[in-house]
Amino acid sequence: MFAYAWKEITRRKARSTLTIAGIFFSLLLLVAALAIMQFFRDAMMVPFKSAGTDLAISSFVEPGPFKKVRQARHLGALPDSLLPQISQIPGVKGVSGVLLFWDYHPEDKNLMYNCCGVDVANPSIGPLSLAPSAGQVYAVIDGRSFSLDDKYVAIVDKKFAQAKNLKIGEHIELGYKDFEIVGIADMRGVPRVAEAEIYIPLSTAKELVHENQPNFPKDAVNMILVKLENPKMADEVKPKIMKLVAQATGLKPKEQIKIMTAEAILPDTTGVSTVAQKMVKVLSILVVIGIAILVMRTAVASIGERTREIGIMKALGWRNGDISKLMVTEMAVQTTIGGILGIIVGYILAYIYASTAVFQLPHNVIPTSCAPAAAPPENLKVAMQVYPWIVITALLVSIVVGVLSGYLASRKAAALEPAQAIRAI
Amino acid sequence: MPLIKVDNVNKIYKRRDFEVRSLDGVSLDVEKGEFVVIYGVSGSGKTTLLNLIGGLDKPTSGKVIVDSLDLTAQDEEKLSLYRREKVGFIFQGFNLIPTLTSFENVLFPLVPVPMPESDKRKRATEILSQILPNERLWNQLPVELSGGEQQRVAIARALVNNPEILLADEPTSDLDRKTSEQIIDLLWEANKRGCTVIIATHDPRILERATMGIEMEDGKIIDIRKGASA
Repeated sequence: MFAYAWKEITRRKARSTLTIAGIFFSLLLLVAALAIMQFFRDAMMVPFKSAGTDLAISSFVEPGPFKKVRQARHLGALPDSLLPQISQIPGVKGVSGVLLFWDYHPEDKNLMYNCCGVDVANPSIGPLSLAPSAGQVYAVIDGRSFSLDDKYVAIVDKKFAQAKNLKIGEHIELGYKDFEIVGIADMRGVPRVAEAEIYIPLSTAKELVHENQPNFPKDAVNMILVKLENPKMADEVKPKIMKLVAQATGLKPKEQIKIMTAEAILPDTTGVSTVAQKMVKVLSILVVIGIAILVMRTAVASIGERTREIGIMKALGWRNGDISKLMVTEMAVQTTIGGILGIIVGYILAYIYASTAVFQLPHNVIPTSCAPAAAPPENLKVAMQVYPWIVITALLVSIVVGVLSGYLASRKAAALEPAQAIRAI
Repeated sequence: MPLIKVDNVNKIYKRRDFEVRSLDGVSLDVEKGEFVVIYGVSGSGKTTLLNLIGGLDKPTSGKVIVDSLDLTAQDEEKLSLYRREKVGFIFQGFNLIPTLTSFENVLFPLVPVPMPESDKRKRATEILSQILPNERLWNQLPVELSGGEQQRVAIARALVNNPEILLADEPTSDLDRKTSEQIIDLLWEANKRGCTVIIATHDPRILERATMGIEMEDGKIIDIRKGASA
């Protein structure tokens, strides 16, 4: 049956080419659009995944007076009391606070060190999270990690250590205090939420910031990282967190309180708004539907040209079911060829786009200073993956269009009376 | 009981604003193994009668019974199986599939038949060896064959499913005298092997071989002659 179907496809070159090309272009568009959108979403997940978090909560206030040590950018205080309250919200798996601050070094070429106090008791959430996520380990530390009784010790970013020629066991000064470098973290060029150049225990960071800026509460952090039981629960959990933070800080929700998620940073980071993403997706689907209708109409119309052949088939004992099998095979082969080509070329286009795309993460995710010593990566560059669901969906679409077209054509063929069909000869 | 019984059959084709009576009260019995020639001018109803016997069409009234099977009472599925198992068709103008080689054309009726591919090929080879012995022609497309060669392929295709009844509509109409005689010989040989052959023609030479000659005019049988060289 397949051999005969193939002969028919090659015989009717113009019609076959039209069918294959239609499916090819529509699926190319669909695959490229879906792959790029999925790539955007996956790319935006990276800074969150690598910090072991789903949400990053921060508040925006007027920056404090210029001091040796000051909180990073406009990040306002979030009281420690919020952490246990947030952890009680259904769907929340873990909560951790970080304190991001800058240390100004007038003697070091006017540079600001980007520092972060991390909760040593909660190592799985935060920029130094070593927990493998989705099979990837995002950070490797030479030396050692923090222990619970650490105070004036630091882990420095590898790039920073190289820029400053720092080694494990050497010392660095922050807020006029001496810190021993106990580890060097290799972030592998992957930007992450609350990333910094120097990491110190959270309790020590609170002390430093409060000493330098007494108006910044002693028992506060300026970013809360929340791990959810399921990232899809973000929309459900966010309003509850927003309410708690607003109550605790007196700040205006949304205006002054920001809850960042991969989804939320996507429009600003990629330059593609949520509406535009949806439009592209809907447009691609509409094109596929349009082409599918065209292919079906073409298949049904082709029966008119094949009346004679169908008459011969019927006279030679082909049942309507046999003719239907042949038609379905013919159409499914054509649309599958178009589909496979569309998937391959669509992916190539998406891959080319992805390989040139660099996303600048917003400052409320990585609040680095404008004059860093050795800037941690803000630019996100992610490799395009092959998403099996897109390939399977596109392949199914092409096969379904083919089978449906063949079925509709065979229904018209079945309605032909054999004698009439032969009289059409 | 005759192999084929056509009982008071009428066939009326409805056109937009008039009717065409193609068969008018036709009755006919054909015994197994006969070599029947239906002759008459164009439009006399020969092809319609062949179509009814072949299960390609249904009468407006009357019955067509073949081997105790009332064709007028069968659905399209059963008629397809009837055509596949009992009937071989030779069409006017060969009607080979132009993209298939001679061998593939002969194989074509067997494609949907549930039997091993090797058996299908064996059967096609056997029949082609008898009817078109020049194997070089088996891989040629119809367009590369002469009219006589094409008709031989069409006969092989009609016989590949080993039919009880062979129906041929104007099998010599596009052929020269010599080739026509060769084709008639092939049909005659098929008949000698036990196949009931019914030919619609206006070629009087075929009548010489007929065991039954049926003359038609205006949808009616006006004369039936029986016996060799009817």
